[in-house]
Amino acid sequence: MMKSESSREATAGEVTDWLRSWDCGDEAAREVVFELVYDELKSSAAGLLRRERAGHTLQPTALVHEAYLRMLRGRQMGWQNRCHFFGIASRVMRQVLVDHSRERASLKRGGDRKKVTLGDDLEARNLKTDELLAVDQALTHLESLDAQQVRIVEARFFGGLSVEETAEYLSISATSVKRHWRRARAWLYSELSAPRN
Amino acid sequence: MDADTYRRAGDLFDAALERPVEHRRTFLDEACHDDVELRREIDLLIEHDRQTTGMLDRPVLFGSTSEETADLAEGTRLGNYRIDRVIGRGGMGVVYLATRDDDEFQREVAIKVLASGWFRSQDAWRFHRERQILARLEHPHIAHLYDGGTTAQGHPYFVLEYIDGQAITTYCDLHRLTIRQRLELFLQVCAAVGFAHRNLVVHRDLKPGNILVDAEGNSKLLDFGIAKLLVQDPTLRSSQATQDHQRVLTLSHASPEQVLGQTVTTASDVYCLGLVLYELLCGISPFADVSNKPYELIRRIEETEPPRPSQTFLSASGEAQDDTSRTAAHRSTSVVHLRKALQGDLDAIVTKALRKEPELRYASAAELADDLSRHLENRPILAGSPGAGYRLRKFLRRHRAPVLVASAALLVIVGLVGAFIAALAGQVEHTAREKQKAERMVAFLIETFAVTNPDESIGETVTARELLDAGAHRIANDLQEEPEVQATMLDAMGQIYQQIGLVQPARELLQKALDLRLAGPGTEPSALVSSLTHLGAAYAAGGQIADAEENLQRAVEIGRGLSPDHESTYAEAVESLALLMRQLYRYEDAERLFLEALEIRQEGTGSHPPDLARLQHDYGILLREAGRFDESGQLNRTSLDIRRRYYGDLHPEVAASLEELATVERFLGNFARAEELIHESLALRLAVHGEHHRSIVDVKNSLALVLSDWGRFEEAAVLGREAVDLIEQLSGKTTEWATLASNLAVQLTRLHEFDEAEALFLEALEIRRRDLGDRHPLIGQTLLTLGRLYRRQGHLERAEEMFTRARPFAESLPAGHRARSYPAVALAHLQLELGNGVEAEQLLRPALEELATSHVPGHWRIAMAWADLGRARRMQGDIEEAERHLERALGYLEEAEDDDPGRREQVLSWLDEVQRQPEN
Repeated sequence: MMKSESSREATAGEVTDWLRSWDCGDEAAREVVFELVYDELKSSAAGLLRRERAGHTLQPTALVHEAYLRMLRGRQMGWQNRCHFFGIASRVMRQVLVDHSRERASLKRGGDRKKVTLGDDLEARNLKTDELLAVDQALTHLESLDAQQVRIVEARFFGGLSVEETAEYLSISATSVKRHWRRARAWLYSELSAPRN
Repeated sequence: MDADTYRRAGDLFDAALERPVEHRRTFLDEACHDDVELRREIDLLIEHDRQTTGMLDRPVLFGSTSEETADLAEGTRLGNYRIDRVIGRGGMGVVYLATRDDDEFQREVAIKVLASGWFRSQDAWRFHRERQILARLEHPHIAHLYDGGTTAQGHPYFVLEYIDGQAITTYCDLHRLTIRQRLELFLQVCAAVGFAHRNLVVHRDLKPGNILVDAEGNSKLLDFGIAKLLVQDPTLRSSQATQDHQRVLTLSHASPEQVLGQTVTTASDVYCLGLVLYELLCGISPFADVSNKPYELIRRIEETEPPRPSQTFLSASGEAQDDTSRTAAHRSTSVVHLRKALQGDLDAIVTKALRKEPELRYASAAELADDLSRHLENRPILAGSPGAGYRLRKFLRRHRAPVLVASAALLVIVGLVGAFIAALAGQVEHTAREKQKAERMVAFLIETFAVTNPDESIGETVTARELLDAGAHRIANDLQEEPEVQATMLDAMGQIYQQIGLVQPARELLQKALDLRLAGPGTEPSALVSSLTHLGAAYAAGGQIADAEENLQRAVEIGRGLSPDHESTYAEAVESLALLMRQLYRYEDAERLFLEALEIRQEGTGSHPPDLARLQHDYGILLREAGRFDESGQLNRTSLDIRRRYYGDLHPEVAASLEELATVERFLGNFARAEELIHESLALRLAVHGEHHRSIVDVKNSLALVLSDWGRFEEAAVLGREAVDLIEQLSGKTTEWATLASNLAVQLTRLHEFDEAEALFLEALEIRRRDLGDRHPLIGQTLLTLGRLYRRQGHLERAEEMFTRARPFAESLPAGHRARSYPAVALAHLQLELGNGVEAEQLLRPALEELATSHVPGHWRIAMAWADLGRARRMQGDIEEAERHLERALGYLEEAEDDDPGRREQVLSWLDEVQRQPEN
């Protein structure tokens, strides 16, 4: 889905600059920022995999938290930029969690036992691997119906953003976030209980 | 379904929801006509809209334990406990009420079972250690941690004192406690937190839910230190981990530095106490309005100053007014009175506790409590005059060294003066002339140091040093008519100076005392022996070995002729000479002298138990240094027993015994036991001396060495740094500083902080050369450690040079000394990196023999040397033998109880290489 080969390090300054361009209406900047954050998180995960010894689990939230700290710490960042950053991070979260769940699902089928697995945050919250994959699948379906609703769900569900933060991130009104969140939520629950085709 | 249908369905869904339920069907019948697909879609949406507790309704990121986690059934057994029922659920896991029912006594306990996400399996050993430390945290206002373990499903659990109580905020409201009553209750909480801080435990998750109040009105803190046991952020580089980077447990009650991932210290707990106090006073958290918006909450915690408590009652109207009236009623007062009560002191105190910058807050829970007490007693508070406390702290920071020296020295002086007075008073039974002399001295001491009540006299102007100097001056001037008294006093003063590390003035005073005694016609030989002994010891402490030996030898010679009445004085001289011999690594001479002194102390009439204990302690150190661990341990335990019997448990000498026992355990490879002993000693030291005492340096250093041997370098470096800083504040850059600094540098080397480590090594080397001369074995030790640094840095040639230079120093050590073979082993390791298997083997074979005489079997140093021998054989193509040696090394490491997993991994990977690589 997203390219992750890029080895360049996204500096905090770089991300902030892109976020600014986005603020100034540069829509292309959104994807650039996404990739920068995505690379950052990915490389952070890769670093962990290298460093950690076999049989350990990692915490996905730690990835996002750490990326946040690394990129934004000590930097005066306005509310808008924060919202954008976390909005993007929520998309990345979805990606990272889904990748991990797939890996874990394949592990259950008898993959390489020694591999490091990503976190038990999911279990702490009682979200099972297959449930998460089902949400992802439903979201992929929803993407073809209403992409913006998918962004909203990602922000609220994977990123824990508030309605206001989500509104800021997507440059829409809070009322529309609420409205679309409610629709998407209802649709997803129905889809999860009995997938349409 | 296509996007268009979906959009239309959504619009009609919205529209339908705006209508009353009974009108929806008609509305949709009309709107959809016969579009069955559209209608079905809308019906599905409406049906699933009602689902409110599904998984989408809690964000993944800040999710907490779900209710559906499989609970332990009633009757399930965990260790000695039987589960009764669930009594709570929280972010960390589920809490059960359970009963201990294994034997005669039954006890209700709370068992907290953690969700698996909080724990990593490789932390098991750490978890175990920390738990034992916490188990020792006994305080009337801290819920005691009894036990812990892992459930059959692999979830860690804690067994805690069961508190039948309510959250402190609920309790206060329910009982309509007044502000004063609330503050009094809150002071209990501060006392508990302060106690834990003195024992180096930070809570990290203080919040009303963790502070329960029982029916008798006693507060109890739950979950102390448990936060630290939970998963550390794994994304950090090891060198960053010293920042104690950890997961935030309760965001709404996290401090700014916790949110920012910065160092978490006792100041974080002060902040959290501030939040609790805020809620107790105002009935509402300063972040209540954003508690469900994590990112907004983070921003507020980091950036926004919360409103002052009294301000929360200012602009209330309507519904909010009802709230404030209720809040006031819960405090048995009116809104107006409540606001007045909060204005001023309490506003200032809360604000100060909640400062974003940790250094601007109260320095400790005790300080916060102190200010609250001042408020309750209507005395001026520290936080009251804006910035006064801050300015004071600034001032103290600027003048840190002298102030600290003052307070530490003061404690010593007060203690020593007391001891001298007691000793002198004991002489009253002697002749009338001696009695008169003794009384004269007691009076003089009391007069001179009458102002040394630490609470009163020591302001910014008078330091303890000045006080001592004034005393010394008085002795020199006022006692000229009484040379005997003067000599005794100078001798006493000299010992005081030496005890607080002021070696130079100590030597001068002791020399003067000796001169007076030598000149005096009626000087008792025993007084002369004492003087010579004290002066000799002072020279030894200052590294002036030749002078030390000369004085001590004379003391022993003269002492040999003393009458049996003075055999204790003679024993002291012998003992001091033994210590010097030990310091010079002349172990045979030292042991002969120790045994002689021991004979006197054991057999002699009127032998004083603490003297015997000290002697056994010192002799034990010699035995330990000589690799005779069992004998050493035995002697130490005897010494500890005597001290406990004589002094009770709470005495510095008891702590010293515990520390030496810990060192023996460390050399035996029992790190966990060693750590436990040191913690015991540290708690004791803190209770006796407070934080800024010389002895705290040694304890921290001992602990750092254990952790370092155990591979816990980050923790070791933190402690090492504290020890170095403290010793520098207390006595500047002395030989002791050099020892501590080079220990720290070793740890920093392992953390790849090469520049700082090198600078420390070089400075330590310079100081050791200055104080100990060019030929002292410690010079060799510094060269060795510096070489290891260069090797890790990849400067192999410089490393080789250092190791080669270190070898003769090591070889000058007596047989059995553990460090004799270290340079050879290091050199061998280096040769392996250079690919010289033959050279490495030549070094390793004799080194292994040497190690076997100075280390316990299976010690990790021995294991690592075998591993290197294995690698050396492999380089020479002998795969079979290589494998055998590596397996042997691995076996040793695996057998060790408290092993550093890093070493095992290392050996495993070498073994892997050997097994994988074909011969070539």
